[in-house]
Amino acid sequence: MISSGIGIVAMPMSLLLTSGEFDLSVGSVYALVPCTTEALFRLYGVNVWVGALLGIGLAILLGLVNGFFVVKVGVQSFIVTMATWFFYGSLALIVAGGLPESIPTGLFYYLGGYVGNLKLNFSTESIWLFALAVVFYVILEMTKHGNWSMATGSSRGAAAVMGVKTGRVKVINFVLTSTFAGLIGILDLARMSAVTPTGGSLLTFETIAAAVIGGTSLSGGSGSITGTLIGSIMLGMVFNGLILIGMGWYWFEGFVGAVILVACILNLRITRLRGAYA
Amino acid sequence: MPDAPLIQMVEISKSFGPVRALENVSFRLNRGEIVGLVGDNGAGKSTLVKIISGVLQPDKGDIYFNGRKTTIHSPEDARKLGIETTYQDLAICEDLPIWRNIFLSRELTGAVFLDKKTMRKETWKALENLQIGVPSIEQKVKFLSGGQRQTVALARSMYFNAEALLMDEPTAALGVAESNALLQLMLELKKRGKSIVFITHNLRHIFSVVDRLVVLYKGVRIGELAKESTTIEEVEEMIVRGKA
Repeated sequence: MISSGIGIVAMPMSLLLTSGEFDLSVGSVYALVPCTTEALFRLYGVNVWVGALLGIGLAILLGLVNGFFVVKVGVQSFIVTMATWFFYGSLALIVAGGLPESIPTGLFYYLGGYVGNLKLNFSTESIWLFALAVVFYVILEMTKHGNWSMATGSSRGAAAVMGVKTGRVKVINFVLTSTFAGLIGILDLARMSAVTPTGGSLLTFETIAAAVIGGTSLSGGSGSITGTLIGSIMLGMVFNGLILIGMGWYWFEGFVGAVILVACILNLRITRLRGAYA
Repeated sequence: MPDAPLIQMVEISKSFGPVRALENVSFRLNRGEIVGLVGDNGAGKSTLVKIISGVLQPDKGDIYFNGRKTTIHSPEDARKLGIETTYQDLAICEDLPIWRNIFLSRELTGAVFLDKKTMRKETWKALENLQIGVPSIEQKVKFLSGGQRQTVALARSMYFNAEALLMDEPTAALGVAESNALLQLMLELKKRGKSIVFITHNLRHIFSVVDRLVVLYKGVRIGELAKESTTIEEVEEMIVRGKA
């Protein structure tokens, strides 16, 4: 499911964008985490469930590394996460080694695969998507962390003077984004029983696109989980739609580009109208 | 000690490397009083305010609050004592609606989640108390005028029961009518027993509200004047020449 893959990463990404940073490394985290799980199984016979948990632990660590360089060292997140995108991507290739072997299916398949029979089935990933949408909606709209993310992204100085621990807010959001990039990597590994170390090359831009289409500001300060969810589903529909009408997926990226631009222009208009009449 | 000054600072000194920002400066703020703190750029006004608000620590000297010796290590400490500061840049998040700004970092929560209903209700109350007209508390601050922003910052300070308000150049970004409204508001707060330290370069604004003026010159307190016994010209002379 294209939408789920994009959405599950795009929602924490929205939170991160809201707090004023972004993470380009998600595409590589998405590849590195399941490659690690697969390699642990292939080389050491580690149970896939255990390997998956270790993979998520790795994802948390990768997010901490991003957060450390941005918050503690003070390098812009664009630079830091571009660097880690290269670095993590390279690690994925190294860990995967030669041709990836497939992993045993069994129950692990259902973590990200399909449930039901050929006529009636649904994907577990879409359940993850909608469950996580509720979780992230609650985090952004109903918790202190959500409030602090908005404040941090809007004006870091002002938020800090008022007592918000802006550095911690950002690090938490980096970790969340990375964790869920790793999770969707694991889910896709479960669904396909195999993994390609270069599989996440587009994910970074698709997730940022979904967030932006949904009305989350690239410059921080405001974000919307419902918007991001709709943005992700829309990208999935464009992808499937292009295949269904026989245009093929070569057109996909072109359409994504057009959709992003149109959505942003609409957003700009709507925000201005709201400002005038609020 | 009910008769003790609200804030008393005794012989405060502060240096930044070789630069002596404050030298043995004493300062007092009584209850229900507006004190004007004046001086040219670099006179040490902001340093003094930052020491009271906990942003800076003095190298030497004592601070008494309500007659009791105290140390203010951080802005949180100052707020706990009831000292609120409105900064020149207002420390407001433009993308957030008014009510989120009022409660930023001091959010009201239920068991786990934000209690938005109460925060919205309380925001209306806080604004009503100050008689400020805003169309909606859902409005993002970036769409407010300078005066409205200033009042949001003030409402925030007042809501948390500040005893002492430190106002650093509150009229700097305001128009004429907005400035006058703010000055009225300061007098109203004084009537309610609040104490205010008012820092500004605008002597006309200062003279229209303060009880007392403290003049700093290159980090030294060179004069303390009751408003009735001085003139704008005299104060101006002191600020520029540094002579009493």
